[in-house]
Amino acid sequence: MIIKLFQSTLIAICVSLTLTSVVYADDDGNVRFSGFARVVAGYIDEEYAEFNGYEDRVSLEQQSLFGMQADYQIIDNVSATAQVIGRTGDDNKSGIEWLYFTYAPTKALKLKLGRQRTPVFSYSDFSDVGFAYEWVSLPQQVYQQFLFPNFDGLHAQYEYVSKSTSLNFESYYGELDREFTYQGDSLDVKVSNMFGIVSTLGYESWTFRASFHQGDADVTQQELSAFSDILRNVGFTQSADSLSNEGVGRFYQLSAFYENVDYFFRSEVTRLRTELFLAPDSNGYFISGGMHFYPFSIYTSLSRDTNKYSADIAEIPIGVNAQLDQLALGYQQIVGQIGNNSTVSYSVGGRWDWKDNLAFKAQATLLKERDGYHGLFTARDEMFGGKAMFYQLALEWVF
Amino acid sequence: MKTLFFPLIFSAFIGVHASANNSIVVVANTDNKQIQLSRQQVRNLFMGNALPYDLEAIALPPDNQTRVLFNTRVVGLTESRIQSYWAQMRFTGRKKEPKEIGTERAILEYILHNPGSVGYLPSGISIPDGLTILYSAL
Repeated sequence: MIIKLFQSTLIAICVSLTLTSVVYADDDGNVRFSGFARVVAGYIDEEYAEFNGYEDRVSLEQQSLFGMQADYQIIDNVSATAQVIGRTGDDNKSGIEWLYFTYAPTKALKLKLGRQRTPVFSYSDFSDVGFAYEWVSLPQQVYQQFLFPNFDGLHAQYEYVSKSTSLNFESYYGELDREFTYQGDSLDVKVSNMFGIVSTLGYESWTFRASFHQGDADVTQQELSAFSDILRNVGFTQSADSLSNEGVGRFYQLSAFYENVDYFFRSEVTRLRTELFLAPDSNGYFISGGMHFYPFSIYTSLSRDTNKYSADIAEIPIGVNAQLDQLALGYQQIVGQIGNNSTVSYSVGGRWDWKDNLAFKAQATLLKERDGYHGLFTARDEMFGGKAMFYQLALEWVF
Repeated sequence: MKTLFFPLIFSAFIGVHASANNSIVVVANTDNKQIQLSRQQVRNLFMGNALPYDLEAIALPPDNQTRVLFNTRVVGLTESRIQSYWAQMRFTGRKKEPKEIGTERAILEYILHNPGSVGYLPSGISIPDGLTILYSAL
């Protein structure tokens, strides 16, 4: 279904490009249509493992997507916006990513009510719009979170511009109830009391951003919940609790970006603390730098993380009877699937802005599990050494 | 690789050299004749940030030479990064890009008839009475 949708949109893209006309509907009227698309081809040079659905053959079906947005100006300072995304990959369902009303009582203050993408990290709320950044894939070690992708609620933004600086404050409050696929597992993610504060300072060619986000998460993974219920019913509450996916998640973020016409530097540091079995406490960062030779850019990146899971519990006695042994074995198998780990990636890449709204990109990344348990790759064979080269090409389009 | 980079670096150098002979003025139709903006404020105004004045930025289209000069001298970003920025702003509902008008003459005409509007122009252009120069990049 999704692939069919994508194929038909690809045809639409080709037709539009051939006509070289942009599909603005009614620029002077109240409705404006716009959109974005990305076609991403990638493969990993490794036969004994997979990475985010990529194997050792070229695939277009992991990150390619198509998005459409409609903005409707209702009255002078009130508008409505809807954005729908059709995806090819498994990690997220196609559907409505943004659906909100905007009320701008003054030029400096803007309120948005409805479904929105969560501005957790610098690139979180526009990670689908590949045209808006240099990489083909955002640094994996920072942009891997699944807890807070969207929220339904209120977002407020206030800005102040002085002679030499610009200041932007954002805050939001809302909740989330959404199915999500993460590394092949189907998760039912509910987050309540979700809020965040973001401050951004612009000075000369620098942009600094600091933010904090928090929510009460309740993530259900069917098999895990069922097993946890069994443990609880037979009295092993500590073991059951250790598999719990209910609790507070907190994100902290700091970034510093510098950019001028010749070169750029970006760095972001992130930290996640949760009480969830499936979501480790994570620290991550990336450092990236590059040069512009308009219409070309080249860059290099380093990205690194450490992930720490809660410790397992040795509560179920072994050797008492066969049923308890089976329970203990089941528990060990589950906790054995995850473990503390640390990973790193090194990337080089380039971008060519062929037209004002169309860019080509290429990226080569060395992905490496540094120590500890499996952190990046899935479907791994015993022969696998924990590192692989990952190659990608992308076409990015906005209209 | 070398064969690709040398012409690029050379053309970048020529670009900078040529721009030294050109300058930009930012002109507004405003009753407040006292407004003087810093380069940073002009940059913010044309990047969609809210200045404490009632001004509406008007831009030239991407292939226009005055816009290229404005990008280099005032905004400090390449055209492709500016396009990337507006893609980010549009699809996160944060800011709206300035209205674009085709030529310097047409911009001047628009500003003359629309109080509050502000645009950038080459400094050689003759500015009608009644309009205010908010900034000039020599």
